Amino acid sequence: MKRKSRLLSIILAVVLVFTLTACSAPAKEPAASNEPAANSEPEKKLDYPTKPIELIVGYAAGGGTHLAAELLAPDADKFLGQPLNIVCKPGAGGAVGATYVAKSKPDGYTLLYATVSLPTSLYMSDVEFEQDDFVGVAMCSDIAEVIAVKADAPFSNAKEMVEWAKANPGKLTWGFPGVGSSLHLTGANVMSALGITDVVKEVPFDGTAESVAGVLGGHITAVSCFPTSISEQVKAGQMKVIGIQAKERPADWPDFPTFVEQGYDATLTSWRGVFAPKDTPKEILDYLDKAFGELIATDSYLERATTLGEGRAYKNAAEFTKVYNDACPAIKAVVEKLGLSAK
Amino acid sequence: MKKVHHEIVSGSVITIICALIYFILIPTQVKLKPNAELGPEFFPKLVVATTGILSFAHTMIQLRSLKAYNASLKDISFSIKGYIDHIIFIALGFAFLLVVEYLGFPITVVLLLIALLFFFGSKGIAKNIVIAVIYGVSLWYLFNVILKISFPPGIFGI
Amino acid sequence: MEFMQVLSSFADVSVWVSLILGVIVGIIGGALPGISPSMTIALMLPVTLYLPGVDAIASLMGAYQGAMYGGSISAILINTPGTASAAATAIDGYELAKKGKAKKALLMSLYSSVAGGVIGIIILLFSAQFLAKIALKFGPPEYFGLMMLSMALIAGISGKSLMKGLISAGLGLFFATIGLDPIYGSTRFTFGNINLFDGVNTLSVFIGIFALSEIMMQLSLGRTELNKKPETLLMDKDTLTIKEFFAEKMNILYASIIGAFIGILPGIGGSTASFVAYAFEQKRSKHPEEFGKGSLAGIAAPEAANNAVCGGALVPMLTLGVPGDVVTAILVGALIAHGIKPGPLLFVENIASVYSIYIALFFSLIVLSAVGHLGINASATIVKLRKSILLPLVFVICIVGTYSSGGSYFDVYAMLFFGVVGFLLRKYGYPLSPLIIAFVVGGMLESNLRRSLLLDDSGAMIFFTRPLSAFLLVASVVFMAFMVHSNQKEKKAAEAKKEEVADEDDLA
Repeated sequence: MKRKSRLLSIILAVVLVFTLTACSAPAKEPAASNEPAANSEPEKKLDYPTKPIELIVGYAAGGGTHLAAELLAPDADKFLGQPLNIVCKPGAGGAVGATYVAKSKPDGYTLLYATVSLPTSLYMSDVEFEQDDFVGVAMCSDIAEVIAVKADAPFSNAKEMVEWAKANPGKLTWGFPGVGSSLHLTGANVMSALGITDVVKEVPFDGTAESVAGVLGGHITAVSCFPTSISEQVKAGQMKVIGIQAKERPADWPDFPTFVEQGYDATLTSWRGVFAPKDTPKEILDYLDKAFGELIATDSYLERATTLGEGRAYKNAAEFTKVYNDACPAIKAVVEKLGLSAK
Repeated sequence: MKKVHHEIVSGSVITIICALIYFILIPTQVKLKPNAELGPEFFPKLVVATTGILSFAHTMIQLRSLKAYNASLKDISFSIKGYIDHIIFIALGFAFLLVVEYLGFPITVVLLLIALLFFFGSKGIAKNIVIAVIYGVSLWYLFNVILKISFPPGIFGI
Repeated sequence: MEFMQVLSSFADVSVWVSLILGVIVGIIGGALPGISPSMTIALMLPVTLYLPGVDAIASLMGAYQGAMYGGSISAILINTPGTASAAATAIDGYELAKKGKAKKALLMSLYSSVAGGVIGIIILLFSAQFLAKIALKFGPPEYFGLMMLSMALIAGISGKSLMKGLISAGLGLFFATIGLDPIYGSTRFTFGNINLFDGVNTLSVFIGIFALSEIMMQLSLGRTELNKKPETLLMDKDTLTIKEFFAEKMNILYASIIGAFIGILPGIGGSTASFVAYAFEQKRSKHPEEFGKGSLAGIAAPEAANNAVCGGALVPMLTLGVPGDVVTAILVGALIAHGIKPGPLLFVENIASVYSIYIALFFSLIVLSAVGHLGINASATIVKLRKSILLPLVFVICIVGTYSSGGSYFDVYAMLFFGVVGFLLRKYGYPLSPLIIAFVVGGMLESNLRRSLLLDDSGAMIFFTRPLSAFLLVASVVFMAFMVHSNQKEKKAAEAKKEEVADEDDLA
């Protein structure tokens, strides 16, 4: 008899714990969240957000894109009203995460943090989402890619590189991490703008580390990477930058000459930002647009972003959606030129 | 069935699978790259062909040694009986995956645990339910809340 | 002197608290199947951003070493490698646990991990710059040569039948080709499913082949057997004697050197290092037949190697700014967030941070040996559970762990598939280790082969015109021949012993 009642009380206790856990774990008390102080206009009270918002990152935890998304988390409570849960769903160059968001309920609780690989995967793979399955909410950063070589390379700027490449066809090998990655596309764009696509050789690597090591070890001539990957090596005099692909020299990298100023029209940059699924209600989109705008405008965000080397380049929802939609045909062209098109 | 029979069976199955992969799977599943020196199909073909040849050789060697063991091909028999438990086990795994989309992780995992505990021979319904609930909920709490690896919620919202 | 200054900053209690917490989190993260060392570090990262620099470095280094050790806990106790680098440990570790010697195995793993970590740091300390230069000499052809050498080791660990070992390896190589082609990006065997684009999840394969197949094998014992209370008598006289540990000293030394060296090469890390060390030790050992049956050497080698990887992977990161493995790649991000920029100038501009890293690594090993002990007593109690309860719990944690590693239930489907594959292979006597090694190495083997052919126009000759890759390739051929030869010798010796020719064990 005693054993049975003890067992019964254990079961009751466990069920109680279970219920409490299940109820209290996910949502924050709505009363605790306030609308941001700035939003004090007498609007219709929006019943959003009432629980944490999930920001899906389609890349591996700890990687560059994940860390960039984490920049948004610390102040999220203050500006969005609810915490931002960053969930990594890696795979297929961001496509797995994108598919998940495209198929999720457009209620504003599932957002996507994506890069320029989003349009890329549209054309490179048979994905289950379309271009207009997403609307931009906020662009967070816009990073320019560089072409870097070893310090003792026989050329030091774009013109010399073109001459050398044409004089030595097939000898200029350039590396990048992963077929179809943003660095592959931006690098290919540079080669095309320089007019040397046919005389250089692409060498895909499994990651940036290996490709940079490949240049330092003299196994390949050049590498397409982001400035943070080689800035220290350049400072140490072990590598030099042929050019950075941007419309004008970024404030963070004043010493790298752009391809534009060297006379070559290559301006494909790698942006990162927040997207929402297409049928998200307008009021929620406006709310997010404003909230993210304020979040990204803060000094603390800028500080965190600068330390990470990510920088800040903000565009609001309307502008970012335009950037995204303009990028799609441009990327499509590069993908087809590279022969990577899925269709 | 003696060991040599097992070798023949496994050897021939693997050879057949390799042949299937080589002749059917590779042409259909590997997207070729026109004028590539070493295309995407090179390595898989090489690997599968070598493995197929090796397992074929292995099967042949074993066939030849049948006489030495006083055995013959007629002795090969299959009994699925011995494997029923294993099939059920894997089926439980699949059942979990199918149900979890609807019921959500915590509920499904507790149900799975109860089923498994009985299946593996643990007796006592109260004991099993308690173990299932405590372990299942703790795991869910640890991974979902503490480690923030979220499980997609089911129709009950958890 | 700067070094003294940095050392004195470690006198702060908060640093030690960070170290201890880091090690604990690392061990737990490593022990949980599905949470890899890189994921553990990635999860800690946001928290460390709020800590001061030294504390953050201390906690991250502690977590790194802790996670590399932690994987062996679940590998030994439940045949479920907690991390990919502990898969080799599961082979002998679990056998020992089955014999009731779990504590001995865990202690061996702990001490080997600490020893390996120390040797890795020493190598880092004294030859960082030199080793970095050697690492740079490794281009795609040399990586290919190294992978061939690793594959040659398979010949050594195939056990009784080289043929079946090679077949197993062939299957592993095939599974490694699933995904996008590394050079052209074409889909291979993906069946239109984007979840397979990056290939089969490594943990699905490991957990499926080791843990699930084991659970299924145990299922054959029958319900009454599974529900029996395990005999706890065997646990008593179970600790590791000093003699047993020192018997492995050369083993640990070699394994650590292998681990550190593999760690130095960008892109290769713990999982490759542990298997190479395991296979190498098996061949070097005077009792190779004991491997796979519960040999302490089979635990010491992989565990020493995977902790030595920590020191090794830091070499290129600190000297060149190029991370040596996945975890150091995340560490780079963490360091940058604290204003420390890993690169060639680090030694010149910010030697203090370099010292902090060295010191933190070293102290983390001290903490590891202390904290690890506590963990062992706690975790060994798992063995006391009866199998009818333990096995379901293990199965569920396998599911959860596999799901967590990729955030997708697809990986769990894959795990079930590989569980069946592993079970069938075991039933029919095919060795599993070659499959695993081939799977781990296969991807890099193929990609570096084809990458090498792109480097210049010499085609296949590139492997022989470069001295280092030629050496590695020749070494692999020689190695393989040697392995096959000694395999044949063993077989003949074994056959001469046996009077009977036929093996009458009925496997049905």
